Amino acid sequence: MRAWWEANPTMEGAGIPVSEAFKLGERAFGGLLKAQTP
Amino acid sequence: MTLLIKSAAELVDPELVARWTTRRAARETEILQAILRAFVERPDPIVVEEIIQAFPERAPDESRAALTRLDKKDLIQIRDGHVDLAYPFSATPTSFVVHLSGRGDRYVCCAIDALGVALMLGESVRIRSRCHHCGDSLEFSADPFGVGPSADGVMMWAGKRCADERRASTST
Repeated sequence: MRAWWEANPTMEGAGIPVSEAFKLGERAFGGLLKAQTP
Repeated sequence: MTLLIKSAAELVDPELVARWTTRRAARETEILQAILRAFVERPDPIVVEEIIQAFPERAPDESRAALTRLDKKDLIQIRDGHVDLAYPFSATPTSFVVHLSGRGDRYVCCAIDALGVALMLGESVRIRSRCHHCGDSLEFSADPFGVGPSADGVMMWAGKRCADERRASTST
C-alpha cells in the first residue's frame, strides 16, 4: 500500500485494512438476500 | 502528504450514512431483489424484458419506469436492453472476482462489494484480485463473520468519488 501510494501521492482517499473494509461491506449488503435465497 | 490509514468508523460520515440508507432501501425492493438473485444464479447480463415479465402483476410501463429509476440512482446499469451491473455484481469483467460455491465466478464492482457478497448471501465465498501496485495475485476467503487468515495484512484503498462521477463503479 505504501509503495503504491508513494507512486500516486496525489490520489485522494485513505487506506483501510481488509477487516475494516469488511464492516463497510456489511453496512451495504449484510443480510440482503440471506432470507430470500432458495 | 501522508498516507492515511483509516478505520471503517473514520470513513463513515453522516452524508455517507444517508446515501447508504437510501440505497439499502432501494435494494430491498422486489424488483432489485429479483435482479440481484438473478446475478447470484448466473453471471450474464439480464434481459430487461425478462425482468418485466417476471412481474406480471405490474403494468410493463410501471416496471420499466422502476428500472429506469434504479439506473438513474446508480443502483443498476442498463445498456442495450440488458442490466449489466447491479451492485455488487457486474456482468462485464472487473479486477475483482468472487467465487460462489456451486455457482462459479462473479465479477463485482470493487473491493467492498466483494466483501459484501458473503454478507449478502450468508455464505462463504473466495475473493480474487491483484495488487494495484505490483500485480501480485490476492486470494482469500470471506464468510458472514469475517475474512480468512490469508487476508491478514491486505489493505484496500478507499478513494474519493469525484463530484461529476455519476457511477460509483467508475470512481477510483
